[in-house]
Amino acid sequence: MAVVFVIDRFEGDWAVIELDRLTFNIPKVLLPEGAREGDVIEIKVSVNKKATAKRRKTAQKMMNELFEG
Amino acid sequence: MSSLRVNGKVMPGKLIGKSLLGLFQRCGCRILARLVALLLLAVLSIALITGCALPEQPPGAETSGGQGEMAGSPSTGQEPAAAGDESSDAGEGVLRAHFLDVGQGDAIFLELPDGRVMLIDAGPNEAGTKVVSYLREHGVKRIDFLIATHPHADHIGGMDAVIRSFDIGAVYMPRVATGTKTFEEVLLALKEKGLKAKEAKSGVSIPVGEGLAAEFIAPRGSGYEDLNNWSSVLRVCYGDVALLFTGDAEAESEMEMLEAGIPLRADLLKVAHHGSSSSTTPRFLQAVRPKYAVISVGAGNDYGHPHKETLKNLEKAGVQVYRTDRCGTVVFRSDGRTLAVESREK
Repeated sequence: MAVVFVIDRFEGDWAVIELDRLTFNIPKVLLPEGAREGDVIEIKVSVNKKATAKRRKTAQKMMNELFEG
Repeated sequence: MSSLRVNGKVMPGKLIGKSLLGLFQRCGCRILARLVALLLLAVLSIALITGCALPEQPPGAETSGGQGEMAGSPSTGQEPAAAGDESSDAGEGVLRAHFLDVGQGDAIFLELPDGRVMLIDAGPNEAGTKVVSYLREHGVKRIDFLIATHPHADHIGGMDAVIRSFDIGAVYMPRVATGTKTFEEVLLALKEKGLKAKEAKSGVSIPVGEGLAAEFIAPRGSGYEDLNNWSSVLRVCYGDVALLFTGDAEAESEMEMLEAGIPLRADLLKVAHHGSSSSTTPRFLQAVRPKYAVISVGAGNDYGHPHKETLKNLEKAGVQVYRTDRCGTVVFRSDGRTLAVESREK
C-alpha cells in the first residue's frame, strides 16, 4: 500500500505531516512554495551508497585503532 | 538528537524512523535547538504567572478572590470533587466545563445544567482513548452536542473514537474539508452512524435549553487560507456567566468578530491556538475581558506554545491563567451567578 503523507497544518517554522494516524514535524523550508494544508506530499528518500561506504570505512579504521592488540 | 518528534513527543525511530530521520535531522537540528532554548527561557519566565505554579494556592482558593463583577455568594470552600463524584448534581442547575489534558490539542467536555452533554473537540489521535474513558468515568452515555471546531488533527484526532463509543446527538462543524486521513476517519465514523452535520458558523445557535444560550460567533466568512481561521467560536451564556470557546481562531477571525460589534465579553476564555501569538490579539482580549483563561497545551511541545507574548498580555490584563500542561485537566463550575475552578489534576 502506498504511503501517503498529508500536510495537517503549519505551526511556526514547522509543517505538521500526517502519516496514517501519526503526525510528525518537518521544517517548513523543505516544502515547495505554495504547499497548503491538506495537500498530499511526496517524500522521497534514497540511500547514498558511496557516502555510506566512505563512512563505514572511516569508522572501521577508527575501530581497528581502538582495539588493543 | 536521533529521533523524530511525533505530536510533540520524541519518537525514537519507530515506523517513519530510519529513512526520514537523517534527511530531516540536519535541517531540523538548528531550529530545534533554538526552539528548545526558547522554550526553556519561556518556561522559566512564565513559571510565576500561571495559576498552577503557585503551590501555596489550594484548589478552589481562586473563588475567594476577585469576585467583583460576579454577583452572588462565592462558592468558597468548594472542595475538588472525588473522581466519579463530580456528576452528582448534574442536571441540577450546574454547568461544568472540563478542559481535558490531552497533550497538544483541545478537548472540552461540558455538563449542561439540564444534564445534557456537549463535547468541543476530542484531542489528537492518540488521546481518543483518554477522552472516551474520561467521559465514561463521568457517566456519559450520550453526547447531545458534538462540535468539531476545525479539521486539524490536534482537535479532531480523537473524534472518530468518540463517535463510535457514544450515542451522538447533533454534530456541528465548519463547512471546510482537508485531505488528512484523520479528517476522513471522522467523516467515516459519522457516516457509519448515519449522522449528519450542521454547519457551525456565526449566527447559528445550539438549542441547549432554557436559561442557557450557546451561539456560534465565528467563522463569519469563508475561503480562509488557514484552517485555524475556520474555527467555530462558541459563546455560552448561563445566567450572568459567559464562556468563550475559540478553537484555534487567529487574528483575522478575531478582527472580524470585533468589527461585527457582537458581544464578546466572557468570564472564561479558552485561549485560542494553544496560546500562540497568532491569536489573542490585545484588542480581542480587551473586548473579552476574561477573569479566567485556560490554555490547552502539551508540555514541551515543539511549537513553543504558549507563546510568551500571549502570556504577557494575559498577565497584563490580570487574567488568572490555567494551563493543562501544568494543571492537568481543569474543571470549572458555574451556577449561573458564580464561576470557579472546581478541580484540577496536578
